[in-house]
Amino acid sequence: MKFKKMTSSKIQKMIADNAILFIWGLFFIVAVVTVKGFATAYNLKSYVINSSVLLIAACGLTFPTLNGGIDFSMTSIISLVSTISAYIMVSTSLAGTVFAIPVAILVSVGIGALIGSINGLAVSKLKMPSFVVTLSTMMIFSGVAVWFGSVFYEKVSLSGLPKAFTALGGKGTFWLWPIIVAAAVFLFSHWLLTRTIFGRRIYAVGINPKTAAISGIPVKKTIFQLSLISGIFAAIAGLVYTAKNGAGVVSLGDEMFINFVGAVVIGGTSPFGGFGGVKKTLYGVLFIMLISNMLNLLGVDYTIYGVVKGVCILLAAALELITRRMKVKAAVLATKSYKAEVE
Amino acid sequence: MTDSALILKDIKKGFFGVEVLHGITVSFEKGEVCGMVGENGAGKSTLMNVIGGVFKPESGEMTVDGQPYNPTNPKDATKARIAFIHQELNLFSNLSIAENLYIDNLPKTKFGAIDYKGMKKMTSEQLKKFSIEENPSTIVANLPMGVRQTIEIAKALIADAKVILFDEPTTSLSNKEKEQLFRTIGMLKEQGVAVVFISHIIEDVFTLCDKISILRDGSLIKTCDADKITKDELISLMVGRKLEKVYPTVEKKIGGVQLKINNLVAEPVVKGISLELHHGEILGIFGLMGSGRTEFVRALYGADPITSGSIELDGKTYYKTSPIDSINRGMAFITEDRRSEGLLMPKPVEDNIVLVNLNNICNKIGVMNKKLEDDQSNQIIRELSVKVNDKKMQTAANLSGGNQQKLVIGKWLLGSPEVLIMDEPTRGVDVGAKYEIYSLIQTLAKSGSGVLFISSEMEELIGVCDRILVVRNGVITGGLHKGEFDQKKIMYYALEEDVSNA
Amino acid sequence: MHENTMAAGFKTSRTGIFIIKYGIYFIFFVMCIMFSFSNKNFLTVSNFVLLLQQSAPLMLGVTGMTFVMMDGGIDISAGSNMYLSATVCGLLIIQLDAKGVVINNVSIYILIFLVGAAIGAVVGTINGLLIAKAKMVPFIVTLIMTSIARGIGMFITKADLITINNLGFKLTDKRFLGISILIYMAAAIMLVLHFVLRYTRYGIQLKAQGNNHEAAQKTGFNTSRNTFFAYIICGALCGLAGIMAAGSSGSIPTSFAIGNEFIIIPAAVLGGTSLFGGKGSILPGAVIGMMLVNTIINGLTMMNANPYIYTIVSGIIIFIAVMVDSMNFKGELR
Repeated sequence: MKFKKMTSSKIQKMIADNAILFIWGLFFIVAVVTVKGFATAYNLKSYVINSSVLLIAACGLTFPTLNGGIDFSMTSIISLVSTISAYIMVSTSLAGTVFAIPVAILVSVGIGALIGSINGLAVSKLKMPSFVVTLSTMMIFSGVAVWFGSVFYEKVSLSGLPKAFTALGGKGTFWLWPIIVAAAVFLFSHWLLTRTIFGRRIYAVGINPKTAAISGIPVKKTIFQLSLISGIFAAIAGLVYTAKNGAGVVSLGDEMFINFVGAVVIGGTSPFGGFGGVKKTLYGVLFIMLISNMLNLLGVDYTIYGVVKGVCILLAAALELITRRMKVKAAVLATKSYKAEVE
Repeated sequence: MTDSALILKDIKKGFFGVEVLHGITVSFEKGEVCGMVGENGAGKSTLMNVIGGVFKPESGEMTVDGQPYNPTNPKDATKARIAFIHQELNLFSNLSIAENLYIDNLPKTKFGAIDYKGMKKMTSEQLKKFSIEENPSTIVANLPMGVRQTIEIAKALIADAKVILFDEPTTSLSNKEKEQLFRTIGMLKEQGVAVVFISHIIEDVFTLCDKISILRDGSLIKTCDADKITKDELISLMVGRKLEKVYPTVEKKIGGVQLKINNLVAEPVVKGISLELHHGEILGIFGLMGSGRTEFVRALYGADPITSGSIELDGKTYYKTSPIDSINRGMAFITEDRRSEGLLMPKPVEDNIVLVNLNNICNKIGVMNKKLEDDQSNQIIRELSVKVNDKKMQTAANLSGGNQQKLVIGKWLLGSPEVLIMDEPTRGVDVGAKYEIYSLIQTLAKSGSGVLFISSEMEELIGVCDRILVVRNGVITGGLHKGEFDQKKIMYYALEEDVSNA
Repeated sequence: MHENTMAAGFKTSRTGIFIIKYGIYFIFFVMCIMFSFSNKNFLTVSNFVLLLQQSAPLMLGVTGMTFVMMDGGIDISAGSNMYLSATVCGLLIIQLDAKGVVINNVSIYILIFLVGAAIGAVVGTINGLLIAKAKMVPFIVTLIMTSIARGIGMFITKADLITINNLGFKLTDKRFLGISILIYMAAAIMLVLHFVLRYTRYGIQLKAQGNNHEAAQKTGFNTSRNTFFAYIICGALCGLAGIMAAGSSGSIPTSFAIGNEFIIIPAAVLGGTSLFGGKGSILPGAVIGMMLVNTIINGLTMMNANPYIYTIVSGIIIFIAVMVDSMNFKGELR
């Protein structure tokens, strides 16, 4: 009898874990059937590309979230990367050479790593709350991006990016690049979290840093690494967004954060830490992009987007909280009945 | 007989089918100080919690001032004018003395505003009563423990408490503060308050109390007037149980010195501890609350900082350490509180088992070897008989106390530690699992590992250990070898009494 | 009790903390000198009064934020709350004007202010319900509310700019004894709320529970109700601040008050209110904090600083202010 109980709880767990995917599937079918213009090649292509680019940043954000933290600075990293990489590829002596793109990429990743490290040190060593640290770095570096643009650009954007680079954003005949980059980032993150020791450490610290510390896990280093990852992924996202945009823009990242947070929270990674992962974030990305797409095609006023997204996110967060409390209650009940049987 | 302030009649309390209080009958009189003594685990805190409305007794009755008293929550206790002065004070460190005193009952001016002036005045009067020379506006965070405790007492008096129970009040007080506390309690007596003084410091009990009640293993052994019992009789009654339980035995050899600790000091509690642990030896460490034994092993392991002193392990000496270093040196640390520091409660059993050994089941770039993980967790579940059906679905929280503890021990065993530090390894564990854990400890010792076994249960230390050291006030006050084990002697060391009187 | 098992990696000496804490004021002092050199109008009384007037609306925001922060929470939706209230009031003004009502009238002004506060209170109520009752994480809830509130505001205005000055709702020319009505309003409201925070049972309970949640519950406070009210108060004040600011600037673009929460929160921290709860004041804390921040902004404006300098300087201020705050607090790394 105990075995039957276990299998049904396994099924329950599978449903709970993939709930958002099922809901997305339902919405997708509804969209195909009822929304004009949804099921076209053009629309689906842009849906997939938009989701891919969002996935890169959302994966990055998943990491600090697993420790109950956040990273606001991702938007400023995107802006700064956009500004500086465009400059490298267009206005420096490297422009037109074969080194332009690799150098731009390297410098960008370096920027992401630098800002991520600053955040990481402040949170792990100075014990500052991540939302304030990343908020202040966001403000500082978005200002730096604008400064850079004002000094080195004439306007606020710089176009003329090499074709090889914009291919990263899905422009050109081979438009699969953003999907490839996103898939690579996603698979790497998933692998990191589920198959490596780093992933184990991250979850342990997210659930109980005291137990983790006693058990020999380098807690501060792990927390530092979370910010480092979100910084680097933000840089990669910045490159792809820039490529997609066709130009470097000093304020590219502004207004993007709601989608990042939305994807992570709707996906079901707990803002309290310890539970979730990039697979969930993928579902969240698909869902939030689907809703945006549907609203767009239905001709809904764009001002309502924020409201609808916001409500969805809040509902998802509330749902996550309720299901987690239910799981805890169920565990307690299971323990009581288990004890009664055994002792 | 005057109207007793609080009477308990035949109070029985149990958890998970195990009775921990066996019919306690005692009465506390107005204007009298009744001392309650007993070892850790004698049932003192459970009794306090029953009186305080935190636990409901299975049977028995309580009366306050002649009226039946059946609290269902702590507020009922407050309503019945019963107050508790615990170790963790219920004060707000960011508020002033005055604000803390009157937080429940803020005085108002004509306009409805809080009357700070009036509050300050009233507070000054209160402070004078207790001979405290502090400004009523002082923020509590800036006050020493003794003063904070007195404020808590004053709070209780303002709420017109008729019964005040003190739980180990003198552990964090200086001598001067202690004297002040005694004066305060004297005052309470004069005011007709019934005082219950729970403490393991025998001289304080004799100085202060009119009556003494002795608790042992959940039963009230004796209540008598303080001047009608000697210290020796008291200690004998505290520990005088028949050692009937059977403990596993094993044939083994104790080797050379494995771990040598030289005058380890860890502020503020550990004042200087030196000891030697031999290969294959089970060294018990006994100490009452506040003795510093947990702080000592935490510093030894590196969970807390070391102020001075050195540690020598297998010939190598070091002065600073951390959990990671200790684990690399082959040390394991089973902490006192498995729920908050030993396990990841909401995570599956398997994840918990491999937590310490992660480094050894991944390859050079960090990829986990799932097969090894599976094998190792199965091995531990089998070897320790951890009762779990599905190690991937059931979480640590789903296991019983005994199995949780076995889980904690199991996770450390994966790393084949050479030195095991176990702090209260059988706390909250059922009898069957306890025996299993003792056998496990014996087996480990037999294979050559040294074990530091910290416990408040004298009986299990006597049953399992090769040697017992006693800690008090951050130093070792005595030690006994297997042949000389004697409950009274151990208690004398623990109370820092002259053992020759034992 | 084992505090900080996670080993202190950053040891700060008493002098270290002293230098950083008062260093902020020293830097402020240096900045003021810099400003006065680059623009001789900086250190004048009239500039100071003007500054006070400009700070008035946001000072109300800081006042509201003080309640929320005292409880250990945060309200990131302050800016969008201001926008939503301003737009609703703006549309109301337009409607009333279209119906021929004279806007420039004391009772109409009072009505508008009440509506502004009410809208803000609604936003605060939603925040409060989700945070205090549903026990969700404050910064996520209020972060989402930012989008929702701004979205609603943009929707009802069809993403258009609204002008209200020309319809008779203008606060900048209203003076009494030479001092702007904005200053009187802010002063009066802040006095009342200072009283609430300092002299009522609610205020002390809020301060206590921000410091020690368990002891507060043991003592019998209704902690979730206290938290709930804190968010309503903050919301109402931000709403009022919104319409006050709109009344000063004269129009409400879609970017109105965007990012204002990131001026309000550092102002609160600089004024002595801790992000970790249990510490803070309205008088003089909110006043000093807001004046500090606004002086820096004003100084930068007078230096004709480029826009990006503002965000960089704000970011640095926030970082330093909270770093000092964190050094006094022991807790878990998040």
